[in-house]
Amino acid sequence: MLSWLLNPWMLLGGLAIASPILIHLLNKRRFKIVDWAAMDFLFEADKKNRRRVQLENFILLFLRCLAMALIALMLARPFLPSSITGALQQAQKLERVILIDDSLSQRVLNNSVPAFSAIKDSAKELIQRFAESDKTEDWLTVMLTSNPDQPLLANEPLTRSTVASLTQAIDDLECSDKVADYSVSIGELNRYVSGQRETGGRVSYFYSDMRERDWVNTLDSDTESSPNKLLTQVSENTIGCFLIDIGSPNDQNLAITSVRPENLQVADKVIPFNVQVTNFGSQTVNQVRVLLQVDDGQPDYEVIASIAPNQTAELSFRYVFPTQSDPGGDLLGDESNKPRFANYKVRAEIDRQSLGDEGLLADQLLEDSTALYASRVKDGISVLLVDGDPSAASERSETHYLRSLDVEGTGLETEVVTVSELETVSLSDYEIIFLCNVDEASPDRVKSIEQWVKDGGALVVMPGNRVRASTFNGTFYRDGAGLSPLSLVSMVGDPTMAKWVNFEIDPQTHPSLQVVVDSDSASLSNVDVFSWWTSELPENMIGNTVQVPLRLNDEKNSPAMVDRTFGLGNVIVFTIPGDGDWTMWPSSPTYPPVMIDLIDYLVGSGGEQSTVDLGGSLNYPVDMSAYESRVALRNPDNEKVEAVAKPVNDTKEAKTSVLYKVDFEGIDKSGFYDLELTRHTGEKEKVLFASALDPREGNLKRLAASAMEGDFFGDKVTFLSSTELKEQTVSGGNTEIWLQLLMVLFGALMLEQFLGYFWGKKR
Amino acid sequence: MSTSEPTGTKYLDSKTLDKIKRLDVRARVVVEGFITGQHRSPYNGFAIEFAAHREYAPGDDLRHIDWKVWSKTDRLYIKEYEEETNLKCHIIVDCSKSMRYGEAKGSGTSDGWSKFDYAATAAASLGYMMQQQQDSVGMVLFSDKIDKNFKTSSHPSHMKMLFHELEKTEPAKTTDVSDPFLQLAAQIRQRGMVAIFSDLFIDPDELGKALAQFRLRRHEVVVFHVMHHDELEFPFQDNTLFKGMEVDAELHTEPRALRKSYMEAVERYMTRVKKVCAVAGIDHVLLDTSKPLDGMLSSYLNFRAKSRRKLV
Repeated sequence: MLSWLLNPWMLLGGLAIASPILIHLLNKRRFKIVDWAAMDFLFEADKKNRRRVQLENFILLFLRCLAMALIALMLARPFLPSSITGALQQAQKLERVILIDDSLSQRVLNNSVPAFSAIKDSAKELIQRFAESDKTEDWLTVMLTSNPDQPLLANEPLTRSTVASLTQAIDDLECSDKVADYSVSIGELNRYVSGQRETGGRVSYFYSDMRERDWVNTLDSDTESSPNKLLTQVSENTIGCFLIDIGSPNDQNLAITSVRPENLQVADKVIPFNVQVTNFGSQTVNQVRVLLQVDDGQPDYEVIASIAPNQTAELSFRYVFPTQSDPGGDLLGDESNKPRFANYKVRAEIDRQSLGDEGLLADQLLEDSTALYASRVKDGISVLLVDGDPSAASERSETHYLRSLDVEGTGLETEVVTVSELETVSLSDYEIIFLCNVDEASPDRVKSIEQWVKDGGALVVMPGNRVRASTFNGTFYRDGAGLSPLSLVSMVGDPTMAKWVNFEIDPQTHPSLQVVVDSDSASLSNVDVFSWWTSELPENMIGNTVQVPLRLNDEKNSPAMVDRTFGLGNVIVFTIPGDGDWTMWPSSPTYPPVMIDLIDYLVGSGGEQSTVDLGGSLNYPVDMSAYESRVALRNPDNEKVEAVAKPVNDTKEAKTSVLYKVDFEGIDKSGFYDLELTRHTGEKEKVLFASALDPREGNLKRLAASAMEGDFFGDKVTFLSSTELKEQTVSGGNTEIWLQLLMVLFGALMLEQFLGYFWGKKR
Repeated sequence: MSTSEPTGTKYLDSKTLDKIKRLDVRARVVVEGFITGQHRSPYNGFAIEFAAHREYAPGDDLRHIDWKVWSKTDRLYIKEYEEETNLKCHIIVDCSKSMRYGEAKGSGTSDGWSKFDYAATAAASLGYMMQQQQDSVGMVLFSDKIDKNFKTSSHPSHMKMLFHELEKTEPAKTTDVSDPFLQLAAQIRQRGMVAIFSDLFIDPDELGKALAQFRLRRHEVVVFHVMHHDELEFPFQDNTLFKGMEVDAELHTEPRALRKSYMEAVERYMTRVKKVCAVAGIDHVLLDTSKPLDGMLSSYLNFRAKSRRKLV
């Protein structure tokens, strides 16, 4: 209770108390010697005064020592229980500030009762006791960790007449789905209690379930912004700080921590869904049945034999989405109005019925046993192949091998055009454009292609023998200002195919090469390349927006494939053509998977996130050339809000771009969100989002008891269980007494000065 | 006789006198400086002076009948005169160790003039002035016994000898007046004046008894009570170790704390000494070493005038 007595200032103070005594003794050692004749008078005076002088000196010495002790005490910032100091402060008015952790983990069931109910009951009882026991009028402020900057109750009068409405407000509280960020919420509490208050002091109460992840930041737990340090600051800014533990030490939980498709979601293609289940409990759980359901379809089941404590098991569900039916019969043939994708609600859930009675105890938190995913499934991937060397014989054309990828199950929809036809096609109809053996385009077309890539399109360049280096460089490189990250120099190699070079795969494997490298990396490295383009790639670009996944093992170690991020899109430049004139690669088994994965990568990288973190905001790019700026959003409760799309930022470039952005703040409910876009023609188009629970909330591991000891929260934080809270007197709390000490110090110094003057004069 | 404040006191300032090393010169400077400040020269007042009339009685010398009064009143009156007598003065100087207080070494706020220096100068000045008036001057130096005793004489060479003795004397012993004063009272048979220069650090009752011995012999006694300014004012501030000069004792104390009580003790002592002197009919003159010597000389002249009347 009086732990401040151990403050180092107290030790220094103890030493400082000795200083007046030391000075006194040193003064005694310094004296003059006088040969004196009238000794009798001196002895007579001394006999008469000795006791009085000794007493006076002792009193002065005592006052000086007392002053030093008081200074040390003040620096130690002592505090006493309010019950002791109450007499000094005389029934002061207090503001009771209650911070409640209403994060998802408070939904954990204990004997079928959510922990949050226990918090509400405790808080209501506490408020009731404040109102009944305090003679003076108090105030009440209630804050929630889910929304700390907007108090539920802000400085409300706390009296017997108002207590009913205050407890009702607590009773109406609902637990949020959000993760608790103690750094933010305790920081806000500290900001609030450190603010000026005209009368009385503040007492803070924090209801926490004492989860380790809330208190201990694994990155750095000892900074000023760490929750425990912030709570220490709260305790220093209040006359009492109570940390009320309402958690249970044995909470168990099974959670679906992730549900994701493994690759691009295209209709008629087998999409593997990866589901991760984590056992946050302390016991192994067996026979965990997990279901995956798409919309209201028949669920698919998989079973995990067992999950050890703190282990994560993975399941893979395979699903084929159907082709999108034409949404508007009246608009047959009008491809531009066709929705870009179909929305599917994917739900992965632990089948609690399969757990049995024992298993149910291993999953006390129901909410994170279900995970949602919003699938946006395209009917196909529109790929434009521009053939710079067309041929009547299909197998001799430049795009032959790429066209051969367009088979059922890949989701590809290819279309081949010539260089001249490229000038007139609508770029927005395609997601990927392959320039095969093409070195020119009109400046306007080049400019429109650049904008298309910036807005998220993907361009793949595969130059061959028809390409002229200077023309290519002038059109696509333009001294680094163009789409191509590299400039072509010359065609080299051995046309007789007597000599060849091979690919060298970059150690940081590109997503498009991952599958091939994982299965047989040698198969790609053994591909023979007989001719290729040498090129110049500015070294300073590599690593930033440019990577070189493939090189050739020629003398110059020439780049074979370069990936450049360009705005929201990507540009892939090969230094070999797409046909088999210069290399055996197109006819090798590695070519199709690399190209399909490259297409998946290109479409996926420019794709949009369909998952929103709870507590965050939902933002979505809106193509103003196709859609109205006003966008609506329906939340899981089917409540509708609207917002207007705005430029991405304040730059002139952003304002002139067709791509705007719409923002919806406060995504704080678990479920699916429907974003509703309106085309200029009036048709509605929906984009589905799923809000995701923070998987951290599922980890119910308690803060270790050893961590709570010592200096973790600071001396002034009173740690209580909810049972102990009931036994506390509500007026309890620690009161700093430095002000009183300062007054006593002032009094002691004044008295010392007065007595010194008075006695000196009297003598 | 006037006793007004002299104007030539600058010649009597102790700091000025301290620069004059020879005691005879110092005494002459004091006396001449004092006399210069008088409105009337004291030397002119020592002729035969008229004192009072009384009726003629048979046997009175007819030369003293005031015929002017007879012619006016037809009654015979005798003119009485104050007659100058040849006074014998014994100057008694305390040579005990306590008289050394005020020497530069070991003294609190001293300017270098000890009580003995002051007493010796005062005694010499008194002697010089008496010698100028043709009085006989003798001198006794005492501590706990009579150290030196010089008989009275008015010869200038006698005075020089006395000054020389005073100059070479160094106070060293303790003070005790009982035996020396008893002996002196017995030795000085002829009535005269006794001037005592001492700090009187003795029991006042004992002092009273000793002084009474002189009074029994019908001597006129003046006590010049020499006190150092430090002893009267006790101006010490810092922690001080006081070592007794005549007693083997010391006291380490904070002087400020004792000052008031000390002053009260001194006051009580002075009151007792004055009372003892008054009871014995003895003049008591306090000499503060920080004050000029004219006070002492004024006291002497007062006394001389008074004793002349009494001696008629």
